[in-house]
Amino acid sequence: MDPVPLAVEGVGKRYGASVALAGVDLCVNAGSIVGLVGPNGSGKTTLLRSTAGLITIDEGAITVAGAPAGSGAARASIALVPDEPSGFDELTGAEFISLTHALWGVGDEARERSLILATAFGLGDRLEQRLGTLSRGLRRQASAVAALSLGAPLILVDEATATLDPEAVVVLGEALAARAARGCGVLLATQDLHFAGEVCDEIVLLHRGVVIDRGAPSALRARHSADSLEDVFLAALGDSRLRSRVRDAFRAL
Amino acid sequence: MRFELCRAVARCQARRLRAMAAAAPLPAALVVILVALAPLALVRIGCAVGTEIAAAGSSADVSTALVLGPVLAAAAAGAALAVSLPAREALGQQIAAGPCGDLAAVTASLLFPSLLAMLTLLPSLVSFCLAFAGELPGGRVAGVALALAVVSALPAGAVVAEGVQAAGRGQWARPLGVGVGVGAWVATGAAAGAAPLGMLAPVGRALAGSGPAWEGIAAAGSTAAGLGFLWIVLAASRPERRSPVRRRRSLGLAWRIPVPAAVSSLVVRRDDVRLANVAALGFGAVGALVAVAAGAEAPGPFLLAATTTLLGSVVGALAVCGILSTGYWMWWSSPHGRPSIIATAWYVGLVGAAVPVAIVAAVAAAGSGASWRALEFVAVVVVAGAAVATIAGSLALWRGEGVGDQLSSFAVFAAVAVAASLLMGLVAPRLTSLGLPGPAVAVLVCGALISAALLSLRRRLESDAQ
Repeated sequence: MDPVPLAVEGVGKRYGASVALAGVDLCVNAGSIVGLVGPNGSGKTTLLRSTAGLITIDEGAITVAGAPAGSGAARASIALVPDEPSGFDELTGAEFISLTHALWGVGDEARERSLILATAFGLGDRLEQRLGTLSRGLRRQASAVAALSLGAPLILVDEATATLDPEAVVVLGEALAARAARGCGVLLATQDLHFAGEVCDEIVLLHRGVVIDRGAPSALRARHSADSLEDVFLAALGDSRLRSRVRDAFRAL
Repeated sequence: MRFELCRAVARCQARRLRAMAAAAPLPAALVVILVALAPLALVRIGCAVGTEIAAAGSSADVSTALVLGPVLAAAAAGAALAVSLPAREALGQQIAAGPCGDLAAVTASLLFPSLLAMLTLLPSLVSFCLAFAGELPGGRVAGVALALAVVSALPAGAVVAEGVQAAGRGQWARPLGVGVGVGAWVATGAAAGAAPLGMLAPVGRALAGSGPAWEGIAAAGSTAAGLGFLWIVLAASRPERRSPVRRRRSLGLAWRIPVPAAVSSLVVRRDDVRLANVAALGFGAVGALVAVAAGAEAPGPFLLAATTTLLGSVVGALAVCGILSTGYWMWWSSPHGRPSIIATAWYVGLVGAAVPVAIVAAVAAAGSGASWRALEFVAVVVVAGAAVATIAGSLALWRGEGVGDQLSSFAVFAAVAVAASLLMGLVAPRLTSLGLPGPAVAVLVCGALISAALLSLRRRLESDAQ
C-alpha cells in the first residue's frame, strides 16, 4: 500500500515572538483535496512552505509520502504551485516546464500531461514567451502546468485562485480534481471560499496558527447552520457581526 | 539534474546580459573594447610600477606588503560576493521545493558569473601581475603566484563572511571554526616569517626572489582550490535565517517621509548590503592594523584601509538602482520630479559607499597619519567607485530575486571598473599634460563619471517604466 501523501502531526512554528503554527494536525489522503482556509497571516503559507521543505518547523513532524519533509525523497514527491512564481525570468514558459521535468526526472508522460494542461489553460503560444514578460496570472498558469504535469503524489497550491481569470480558475479546479482522481493528494491554500467549497473534499480552518474547525464543506455549513462558507468562516472566527460592525465604523469615512 | 540546473541558470544570465547589451549597445561595446584592451595597458602599468619598486623588491617586508594589499582587497570583494550569493530560494519557490540538492543550487548560481568574471578580470590581473613581477627579483613566474594569491583571497574572504553570516543567524559552530582557521592561517604565516600572509607566505618569498616560484604557485593554487571548495560547501549548508519577523525602527505613519530617508531605509534594510558593509569594515580595519603593525609609513595604512573597505561598501551603490526599479511605479507616479529621485538614489549610493570608508579611514589616519593628498585620492576613488557601481547596478540590476542575479551584477561591476580605470588612465594624464592642475582633472573625471551614473540610472528606470 502506498504511503499517505501528507501527514502533519503536532506541527509548530514560531517567527521570533509570533506563533505561526501551533499543534497543527492534518492528513491528506491519496485522491483527496484538502483546502486550507483562514485569515491573512493565519499560517496557511507557512504550513505549505514547511511541507515543501522551504522552511524548518520547530516542533511536530511532517511526512510526505512516507519521507520526512525536506528530505530528497519528500522533495521528489511534491509539486508546488507558489503564490508568486519567481526566478528564471529569462526562460520561456516551455523551457521552464522542461526544466521542471528534468529536475524531477519525469519522462514523456509528463510532457504529454503538460501539453494537455497548457491547451486547457489556453496558454498556447504564450509558452514561447519569457516568464518575466508574462502577466502574473499567466505566469501562475505556466507554473501550474509545470507542477501538475509532474505526476507527483502530493500537489501543493498556495493562494490557488489568486490572479487567475475565471476561466483559469475553472481549469485549475478541474485539473486538481483530475489529478486527485488519479490518486494524488492535493493541499491548497485559498481565500476563495466558493472555489474551496466547489473543489475541496475537506476544509481546514486555520486561525492564528491553530486549526479551529474542519470538515467537508456541507458538514461545515450544517454545523454552523450557515448558508455559505463565508458565513461559516465568520462564525468560526466569532465575528458574525463583521458587516454591520464595519458599516458603522465606515460612516466616519 | 545538476547540469540541467546549471544550464538553465546560465541561459538566464546570458539572456539577461544580452538584453542589457541590446538596451545600451554603445556603453556595452565600449566596456567590451576597454576590457579587451585593459590587459595591454596593464602590462605597461605593471612594468612601470614594478620598475619603481624593483630596488626594494628583495626586502621581505616589501614583498609581504605587495602581496597583502591586493589580497586584502580581494578578500573584501570575496566577502561582499559571499553575502550576495543568494540562498536556494532564489531559484524560486517552485524549483527550490524540488529534489535538486543545495550544492547543485550553489554551483548553478556561481558557474556563469564566475566564468564571466574570469573572462573580464583574469586577463587584466594576470597581465599586471606578470609585468609587475617581471621587474622584481622573483621574475615573471612569481607573477603567476601573485595572481593566484589574489584569486585565492576571494574564497578566503567569502569563508570569513559565511562565518559572520552564521553568527548573525545564531549558529556559533561555524564562526568558531572560521576563527580557528584564521588562527591556523596566522600561525602558518608566522612560522614562515609573514604572519598576515598565512599559507600565502611562499608567494611573498617568491616575489622577493628568496624562495622558488613554484612553491608560491603551489601554495596559492592549493589555497584557492581548498578555500573555494570550502566556501561552496559552507554556502550550500547555510543555516536558515532566524526569523523574518524582526523589530525594525519604523518610519511610522508620518505624513511626509523624505525621499532620501525612504531610499536609504530600503538600501540599509537589505541583509546583503548590511553584511557586505560589516565585512568591508572588518577587512578594512584588519588592513589598517596589519599595515600599522608592519610599520608601514603614512599614508600606507590609511590608503590600504580605505581602498579595502570601498570594495565592500560599494554594494549599496550597486543595489540602489535595483531597489528603485522594484518600486518604479511608486517613484514614477509620485509628485516628486524624476531628476530629484534619480539624484537622491545617486546620493544614497554615494553616502552608503563613503560612510564605511570614512569610519575605517579616520581610524587608520588617527593611528598612522594621512596627508591631504591621500585624502583627496581616497575621495576621488570613493566617488569613482560609487559611480561605477551605480552604472553597473543600472546595467545589470541587483534584484531581490533571481538566481545569481547579484553575482552577475558583481561581474558587470568588475567589467565596468576595469573599463573605467583604463579610460581614466588614458584621459587623466593627457589632461594633466595640457596644463590642467591635478584637482581640476579629478573634478572633471568625477563629474564625467557622476553624469554617466545619473544618465544610466535615468535610462534604466525609464525603460522599466515603459
